[in-house]
Amino acid sequence: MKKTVDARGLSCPQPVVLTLKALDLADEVTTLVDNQAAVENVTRLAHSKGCSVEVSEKEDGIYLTLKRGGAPAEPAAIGHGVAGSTAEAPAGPLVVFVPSDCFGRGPSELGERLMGAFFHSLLEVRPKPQTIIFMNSGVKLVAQGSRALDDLEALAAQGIDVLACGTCLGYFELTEKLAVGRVSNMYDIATALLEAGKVVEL
Amino acid sequence: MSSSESPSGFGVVLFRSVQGALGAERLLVAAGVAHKLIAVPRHLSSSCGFCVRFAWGDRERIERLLPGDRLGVEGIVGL
Repeated sequence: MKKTVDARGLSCPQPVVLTLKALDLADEVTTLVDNQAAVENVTRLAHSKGCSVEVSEKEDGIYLTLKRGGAPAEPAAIGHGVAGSTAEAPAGPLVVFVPSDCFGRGPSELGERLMGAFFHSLLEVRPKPQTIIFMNSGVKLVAQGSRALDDLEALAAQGIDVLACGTCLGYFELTEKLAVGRVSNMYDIATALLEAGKVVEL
Repeated sequence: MSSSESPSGFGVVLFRSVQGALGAERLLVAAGVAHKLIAVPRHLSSSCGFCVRFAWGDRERIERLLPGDRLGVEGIVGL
């Protein structure tokens, strides 16, 4: 059975949510979108569900055709892992969740510096997380001007997936200033948290 | 505590207190000296604390800028 989803004009994460619903009812879903972010998000969904995906750009939009069983399912919709880093995790990837730009509760002068020191130390300790998720004021850490930027870039270069909440970047007017990692949405973030073997919240 | 060698090209300034490290950071920011506040490396101290990491080539400048008595500087160590 085939279904078509017209997600043009819809903002994140609606194209992914509608595509996912359609995949429950059909083996082949064609989703029509009108922006690159939606293409990437729906493609990521396809990979996480073991679907093949074909992208076709036409005058009226970008068509993504997802077919069930076309590819092996990935355990999490969160990109690449870090070789050898998850052996100590109970089951599933290790995820670090950063909901604030301050480490712990207390003076921001101290908390901001503790957070910077944490990411610097993370370069040297094991196990490495597979994913680091930045949310709420935590997204300030992945934006230009962050004191943790060079360390986060080094962590990303080691293969750690750095996700920044797109809604939060928008709220703090930092969307254009994202300097490391990639913009993510609540759907991907919720999936990463729920599929994690262990979540460490700072 | 002192060290005159830095194989990594970096050194750290150690302080008796966190406040000393924060005060040094303010002075270095004002002077435009590149630096980074990091956790004290484990081989230097087993207790939690901040130190200021800097490029070893800036050592003399760092020593001039940071009033050791007021900031409680414990030493400068090459990494």
